[in-house]
Amino acid sequence: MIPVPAQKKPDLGDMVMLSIIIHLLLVLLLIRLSSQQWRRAVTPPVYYVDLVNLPVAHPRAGTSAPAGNNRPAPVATPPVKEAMQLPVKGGKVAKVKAPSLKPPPPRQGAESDREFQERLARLQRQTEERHEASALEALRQKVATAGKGTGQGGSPVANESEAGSDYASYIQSRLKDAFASTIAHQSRAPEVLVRISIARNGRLAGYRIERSSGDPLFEAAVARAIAKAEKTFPPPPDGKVFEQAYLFRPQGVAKK
Amino acid sequence: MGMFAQTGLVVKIVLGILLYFSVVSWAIIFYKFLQVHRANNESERFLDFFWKTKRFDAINAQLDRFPNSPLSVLFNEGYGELRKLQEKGEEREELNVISTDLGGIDNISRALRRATTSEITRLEKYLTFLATTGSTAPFIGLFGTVWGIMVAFKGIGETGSASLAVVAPGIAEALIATAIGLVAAIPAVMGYNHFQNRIKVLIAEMDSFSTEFLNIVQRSVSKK
Repeated sequence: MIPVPAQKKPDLGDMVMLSIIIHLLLVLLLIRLSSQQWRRAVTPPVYYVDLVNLPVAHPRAGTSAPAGNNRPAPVATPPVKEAMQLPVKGGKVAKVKAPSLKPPPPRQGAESDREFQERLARLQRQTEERHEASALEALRQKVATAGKGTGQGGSPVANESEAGSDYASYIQSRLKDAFASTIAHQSRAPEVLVRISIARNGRLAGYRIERSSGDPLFEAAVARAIAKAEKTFPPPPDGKVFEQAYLFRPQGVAKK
Repeated sequence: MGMFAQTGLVVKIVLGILLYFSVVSWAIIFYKFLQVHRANNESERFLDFFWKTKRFDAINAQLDRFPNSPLSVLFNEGYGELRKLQEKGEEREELNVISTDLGGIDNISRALRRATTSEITRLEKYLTFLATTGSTAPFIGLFGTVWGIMVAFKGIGETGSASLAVVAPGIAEALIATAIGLVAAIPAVMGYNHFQNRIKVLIAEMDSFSTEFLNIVQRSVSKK
């Protein structure tokens, strides 16, 4: 019997090892690609539209321009409109509305009633004058500080990225809504600068008063407003803790 | 990879099975590629050598040069049977005479047939795994997907929210199983068809060689 020639067979075990190595390389490649895609998917900014308070007081946030140092200048149209309307309104109101709020003509034999009416009218006048003064002052400040990123009633004052700006504007809007229902103050023009931190899940992580107004009533109103607005905060878009300073002023915030 | 981590246990098991199928399929594809490639090359070289040499004893002495050729195995078996017949003849004191009766040719024919069958078996070894992977991997993947979607819908029912943002991630995770099932099955089916075709060619070559070998033997016997 002639011996069968020994065959040089390829080893299946070697091929299995080769296959495992190729699969591992493919898995690593997929992980790398998917992580890049994930990073790309996270980058686009999330825009928040406040449907309750349209048109917003400061519509400068929310442009789709790329983030960077060349922060777009505040949109001129809405502030200009306000700038044109408010003085006219204030002027007219000062002249025209004041006589209309005069107390009704006194009646014979009703002294106490007349005194009450006069006092009421006087109070109304005072309130109105204060409102007008506030509006004028706010307008003056708005014209003076146009383009500087500060404003009335919880304007974000930090210089943040475009995506963060949208979220900051949304939070500002929510704070402003809440503040309108809680506003109270003793002093004439109190101002409180509050730094607010929002956790990744959208809950309020904490807040710190950076500049006090010295008006405890006003600061309590601000605290109530923050507590109230907290329920409406969405989670920050970039998945990080959001921190922003907001300036609270009574000007431009009417009690609801 | 994050999506894989979020899938449920059943889907993970399905993905593990599919990964095993894929790894083994590719190992078989590489193995068969080398085996069939070497068998083809060495068969061609062996046939050239066979027709040039023409002497069986000289060919037999050089068989080590073609270890992967199925034709060399066939020749080895046929020549072995021929030598046995020759030795039988020598025992009968009929020196230098190969048995001329049909029984001797039949013996060689059977030996060649047996060698052909064993070579076909060797060449087709593991190909059934490729066929199994090609036919079952998509279904295993589909099972994982169906299970994942069931779990996702259960979760949706519990949360009470059916928005796209809630529904989509669960379905996307579940669909990974089908995707990996197809990734495992497609190369397996392609490899199976390719190797079946190449092995068919080799079988035809073996049949042809067996016929030629028998003809040569019969001619040499008839001369004597």
